[in-house]
Amino acid sequence: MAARGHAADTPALRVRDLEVELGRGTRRVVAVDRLSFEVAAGETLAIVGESGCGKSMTALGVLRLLPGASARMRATELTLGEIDLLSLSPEELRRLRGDRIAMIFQEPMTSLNPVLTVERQITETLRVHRQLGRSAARARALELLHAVRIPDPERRLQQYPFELSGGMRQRVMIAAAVSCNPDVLIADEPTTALDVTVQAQILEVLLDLKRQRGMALVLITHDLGVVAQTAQRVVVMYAGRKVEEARVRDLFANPRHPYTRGLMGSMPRLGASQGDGPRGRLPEMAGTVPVLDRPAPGCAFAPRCALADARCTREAPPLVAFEDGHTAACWRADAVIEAAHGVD
Amino acid sequence: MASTEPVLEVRDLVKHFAVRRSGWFGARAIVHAVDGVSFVLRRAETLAIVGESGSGKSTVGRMIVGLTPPTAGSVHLMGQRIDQLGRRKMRPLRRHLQLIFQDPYASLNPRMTAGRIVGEPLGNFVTESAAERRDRTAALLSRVGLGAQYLDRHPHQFSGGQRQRLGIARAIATRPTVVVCDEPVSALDVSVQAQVINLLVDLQAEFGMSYLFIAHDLGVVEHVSDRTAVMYLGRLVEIAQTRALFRAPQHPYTQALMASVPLPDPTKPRLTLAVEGEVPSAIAPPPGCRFHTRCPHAKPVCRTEVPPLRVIAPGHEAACHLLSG
Ligand SMILES: Nc1ncnc2c1ncn2[C@@H]1O[C@H](COP(=O)(O)OP(=O)(O)O)[C@@H](O)[C@H]1O
Ligand SMILES: Nc1ncnc2c1ncn2[C@@H]1O[C@H](COP(=O)(O)OP(=O)(O)O)[C@@H](O)[C@H]1O
Ligand code: SF4
Ligand SMILES: [Mg+2]
Ligand SMILES: [Mg+2]
Repeated sequence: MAARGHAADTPALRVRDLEVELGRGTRRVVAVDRLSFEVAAGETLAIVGESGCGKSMTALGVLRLLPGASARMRATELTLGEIDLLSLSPEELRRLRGDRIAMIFQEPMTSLNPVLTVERQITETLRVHRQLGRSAARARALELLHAVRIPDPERRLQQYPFELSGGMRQRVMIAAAVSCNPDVLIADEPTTALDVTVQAQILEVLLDLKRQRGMALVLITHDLGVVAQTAQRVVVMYAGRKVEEARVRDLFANPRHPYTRGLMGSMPRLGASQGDGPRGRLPEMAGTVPVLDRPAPGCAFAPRCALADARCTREAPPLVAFEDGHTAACWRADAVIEAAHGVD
Repeated sequence: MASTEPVLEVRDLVKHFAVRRSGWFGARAIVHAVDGVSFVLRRAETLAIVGESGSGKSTVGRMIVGLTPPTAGSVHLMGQRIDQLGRRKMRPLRRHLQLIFQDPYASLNPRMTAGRIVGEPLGNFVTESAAERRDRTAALLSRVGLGAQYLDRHPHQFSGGQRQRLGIARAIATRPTVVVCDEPVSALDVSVQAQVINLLVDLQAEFGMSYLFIAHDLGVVEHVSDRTAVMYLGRLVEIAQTRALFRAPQHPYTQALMASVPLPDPTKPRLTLAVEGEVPSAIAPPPGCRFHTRCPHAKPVCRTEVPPLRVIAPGHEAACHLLSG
């Protein structure tokens, strides 16, 4: 296995043209369509979009953990530091997961083993990947519970998942995931099921761990507030494709894709009642996220897009690069900016 | 515009659930789900109830519509006490009080068509021919943005947003005075959520209904409501005009809740920990102020004495020892 640490310009994770297909024949769904991104050590990349846009399938595709035999993934490149994940055997991959790359899910109950104590949940990974003895593993588990700020960690070690609140379970899940100091942590909606005060605590734990360990964090979310408060860069997904990517502050200052702009507009914001005038209607995007089984030739967002013209329904827009690594897949990305300034 | 006429009032509502604790002897325990909640809902007004999960919001809603009998306290609809009316006496009032659920799927009969689901509630109150009913139902569906082609479809053939529209059509079919909306947009994606919020706001303007709008999303609550009530562990801790509450929240819990919301604006960083810990168990709620175990300002009195809800400004009440003048 390649040595730890790598040249400064090698991203921790690089994904090129990832495709994930589910089902066959008339049931075939292209859940992820030629998606590329990379994330550097110490960086947080957010992947944002509404449900069904392919965020989870992207995460599972990267880990090559796709559900069922009818799921297929392809990519032109998938590298973890210097390691080419595409060339690894299933056994080699299994050894890598949980060690150099780890994942946490929205509902920890599904990924924690209900019949194992918290101690076992965490030490299992350590004993498999690090061949630690029992007491060394236990000491390390305690350390990890401190790191994720679980109150009363000694007592927690002996508890079972059902005895824990959702927030505590998510902390245990994070402790297990970072136990081997992975280079990359993928967190799929880790706070979606939690209350907002607990969400703030969990996000802080994640960001602290990322900083201390120099991990690359891929944070999947549907919440633009979470994106704004946690990530440096963001990929916006729609119907399986990346429709926009930018540094977080550029995305919010200057969204170039009509879907991104629509998402920002339709979200009711805290503080909105403090403005003058009556409470207005929320700006609406008509329709819903498409089902991906009948891909149309043009832009997948065209049926909902106020700016769509004839070309949009005919031809899929390519991702075009603007300044500072800001990219968007929209024929009318310039009109988006103009329209915004016209209204402002 | 909201008037001052009360259409719904709850007084000192209490709900204690008797449960068996898991574990060795399955000892009996009491869940203090709701403990002494009072408020008034006025005509054509939207009053929001906000709070984290387990704070008792749904239980309040269920007691109002008669799905859960209160342990103590009373519910008054248009001046009449309804919590002890039997099913039969409640019938004529029933049409004035409707409920919209978070998960419309669980509340819609899967074997019924959309037409029957929407046609049935009013069918219980009026006599009409089959053709009349079909016309009325089609008009209702179209009012919530579902075309006539949906009349004969079953709930599972609808998307989440469409099912919520169907639930709304059913609720407004009887032209109710009060609609209790329990997390009506919480399960929806943000773009569909905006559509459903707009629909609810438009329908209110059109029909003058009052909404009791239960939600945990503060942005949504601020957008839709005229007044907001904040619940914590079964108690009302603050209630005020929405604008005033969001401008200057007074109760430490309301402040913590608001400070925890991640703002979609990277130039306003605020992932600062607003409050530690989690909501304690409703089986053994903390004595005194129920928030004292997490409150950054708690004083000794907070641990022993329950702070009453007190008027701290016109139309603004809060329950906190710090705020007693
Ligand atoms: N097990 C599955 N079988 C078939 N299709 C699926 C399965 N899981 C997800 N999909 C489809 O794949 C697409 C992407 O789903 P997903 O990655 O879960 O979206 P997200 O995480 O953004 O909500 C969706 O259109 C969904 O319907
Ligand atoms: N049928 C029930 N039996 C026992 N406990 C219940 C029941 N319904 C609700 N509870 C409890 O009552 C409290 C309040 O619940 P709920 O009203 O659903 O809160 P919210 O809607 O604010 O999330 C919670 O602790 C919940 O577990
Ligand atoms: S009463 Fe005390 S514990 Fe409760 S919120 Fe006020 S200061 Fe905090
Ligand atoms: Mg997902
Ligand atoms: Mg509820």
